[in-house]
Amino acid sequence: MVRHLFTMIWNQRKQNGWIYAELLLVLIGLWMIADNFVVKFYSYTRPLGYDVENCWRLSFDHYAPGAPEYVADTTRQVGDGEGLDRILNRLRRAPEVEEACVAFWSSPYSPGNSWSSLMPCDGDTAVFKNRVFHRYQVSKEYYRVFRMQGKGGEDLSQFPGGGGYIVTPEMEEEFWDGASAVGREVCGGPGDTEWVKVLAVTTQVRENDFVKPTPAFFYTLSEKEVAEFVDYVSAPSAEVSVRMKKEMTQEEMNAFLTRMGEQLSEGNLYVSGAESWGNYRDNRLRYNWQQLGIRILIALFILMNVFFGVTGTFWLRVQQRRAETGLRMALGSTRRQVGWWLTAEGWLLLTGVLPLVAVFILNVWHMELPDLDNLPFTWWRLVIGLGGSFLLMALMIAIGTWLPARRAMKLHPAEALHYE
Amino acid sequence: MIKLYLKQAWHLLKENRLVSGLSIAGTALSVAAVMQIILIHQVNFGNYAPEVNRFRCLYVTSTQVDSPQSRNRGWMGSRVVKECFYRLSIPEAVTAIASVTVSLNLPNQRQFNKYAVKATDAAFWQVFRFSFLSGTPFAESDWQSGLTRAVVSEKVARDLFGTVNAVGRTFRISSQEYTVCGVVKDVTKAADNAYGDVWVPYTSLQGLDVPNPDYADCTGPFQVIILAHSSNDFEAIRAEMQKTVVAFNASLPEKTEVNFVQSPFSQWERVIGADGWSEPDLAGWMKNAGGLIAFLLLLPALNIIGITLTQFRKRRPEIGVRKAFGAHSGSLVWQVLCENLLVSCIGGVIGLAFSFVILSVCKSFLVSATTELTVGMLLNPFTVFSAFFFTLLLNLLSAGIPAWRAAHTPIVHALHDME
Repeated sequence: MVRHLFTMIWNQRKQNGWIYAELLLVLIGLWMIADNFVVKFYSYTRPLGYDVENCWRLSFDHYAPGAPEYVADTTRQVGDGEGLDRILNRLRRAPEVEEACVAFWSSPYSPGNSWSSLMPCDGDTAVFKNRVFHRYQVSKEYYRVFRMQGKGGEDLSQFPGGGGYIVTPEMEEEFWDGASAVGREVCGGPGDTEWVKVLAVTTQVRENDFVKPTPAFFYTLSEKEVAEFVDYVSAPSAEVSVRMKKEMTQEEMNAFLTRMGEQLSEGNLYVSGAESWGNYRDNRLRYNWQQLGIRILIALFILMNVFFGVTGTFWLRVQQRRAETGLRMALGSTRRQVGWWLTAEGWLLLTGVLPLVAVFILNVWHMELPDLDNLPFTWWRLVIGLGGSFLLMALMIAIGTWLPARRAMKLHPAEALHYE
Repeated sequence: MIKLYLKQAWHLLKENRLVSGLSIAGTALSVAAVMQIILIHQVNFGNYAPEVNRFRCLYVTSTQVDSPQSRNRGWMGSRVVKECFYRLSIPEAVTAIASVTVSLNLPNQRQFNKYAVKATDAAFWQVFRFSFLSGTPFAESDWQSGLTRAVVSEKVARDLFGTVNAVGRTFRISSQEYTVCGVVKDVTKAADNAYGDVWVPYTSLQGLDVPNPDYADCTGPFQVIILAHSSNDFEAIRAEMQKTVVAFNASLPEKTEVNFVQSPFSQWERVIGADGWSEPDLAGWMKNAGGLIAFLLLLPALNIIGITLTQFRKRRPEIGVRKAFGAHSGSLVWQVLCENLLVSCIGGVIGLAFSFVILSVCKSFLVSATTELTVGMLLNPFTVFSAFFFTLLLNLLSAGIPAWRAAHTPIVHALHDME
């Protein structure tokens, strides 16, 4: 039967050419979208290494001279570092708050970040020359606020500040080939005499929901260092975060800050608002979601085109082949078989496209055009991406041929033979 | 003749409704998809209130300051604005804009919601056209003496005072007290340079332009927009700016220098991705946007070619007769294109309407959830023109090959209806 179908397809190669070309173009397009989707979905479902749910970023401001709250009395004025520390301590005592911390361009989804060079002190300088890594500078409560844990489940906030670095498993792998990093020493580069000990290794940390984990390191500042840093950059520039005990809306959070009242100001420094870290995440990921949405729209566009193309081609074919259909019915084909005949022809055409698509995929894979960085090219990735697109198209072809097939089925054999 | 072709096309259209319907749907789908790209560009880059002069503007969004020790890349300080830009004589107006997000409140009230504040100058109201519900913009003299006067949006007036008649009322930005001098209609976020909830003279806002002696006070929060009398002046303005910058740099300490990297750039350069930092890449943009548009046109065209070709087989004898009586190839090609144009145009109109539907349904990820779409943004001669243009292009793509084929079939074959 398949051979028979092949003969039929070959005999109508002139009209089939267009639909074949379209199926080819479309399967390639659909595969590219599906493959991208597989990578994104895979990345999105991996653990992040931290948790920003119920975490809020507090913003700070200074009362301007002339404002009624302005403290002109210099003996009552305090530095930002000290003022911030007092406000945070009051916040920690509030029953609604679980924990509060300070970080410097280092919070998850923060719009700012800092990078610096680092290498194992006993490492090959040639290998690590010019290598920079994401550096997080945080107070020790940071790990509790964002629920970060050590590789073995240990509490990372147990380490007092100023003592050393905490590294991610990717850095451990890159610096020491998977041997334990704890207790080893790192430095800023060849010739750097300031050696710093590695205190612990985190679980895998990803910068955002759509990328793979990368080598990075955390430095826990001591209380004194935090205060000095805040004095230097000023409190409004520091990232101050609180984890609330339960989920809150913006209004509830505003109400909480209002209830705290004067406790949230110290000298001329005061809390001017709170924004959920979830908002920062949404801003950071917006582009990714937009791209996904646009790709889904394009996929829908493609599928609708397949439907139109298939319906149109097969409709005209049914009209032209009334004679053949009549003959088949006269020779004993059931109506259902005549209908199936069309769908099978469509599916076979689709299968005929596969070898060319395979050649295309091998080529782009070789040229490293698909996203191989976040997910290596594996058999299951190919099977899901290509299989998914193939099945979707097969479904569209089935729907597209259904209408023409029904028309063919309705034909009375005698009437159909009339056309002969 | 065209009338006859169209009549014929109309009858053919009615003869096979399903196939005509599919051609129309295919065209509509394609036009809707392509128009989506055009509309998104229009929302992001078109002329609409309050940014009505976008194509007469030059944008300076990048400032690089080199000092003996280091380099700062960001925006400029008010010193640079004054000495490099306010001095320009060729432009119609020059405005400096700084964007900040702060909480607003009434005296004795704590408020934690954040609003967008634009700190700017009096020329701002000349570059952009706001519609005032009441009051006036702050004046040049207010800006000069740093008076705390503010223009607020309808939304802010309602949030703070519960009414839009807020002229003369006072409120606080952070902890500074301001008096409302005007209330304007809300501005869509798509007009990002003009967008804000509150507009104040930048000279009045404390802590905005902190002097940075490391960079001779050249760094700061400002971007500049230069409004030219016409886009023909762009070259002259660039040249004049070059001169003021050279003179300004000569006045700076040794080894300290300001430059604006790839700024200023025009609206057309913005369309192809200019941001002041990297060189606008026309070839790259053409490859991306052009490639996508070609794909969106080509795929439905393949469908329609298939359908038109098959339909033409039925009409071969007719073409044979016409040729036998002396019609030349050109007029046959013309006939096919005209006939197909009817289908294309019906599809084009449906497609354009459909594209508005898609845009409003998918606004959250195609533009952004918080951006207000206005009629003026979407419906203008350019939209209609581009929809018609792409319809014609699609028509040419999808009917061109069938037309050529029909015109070049040997008469005898055509008359015989043979392959």
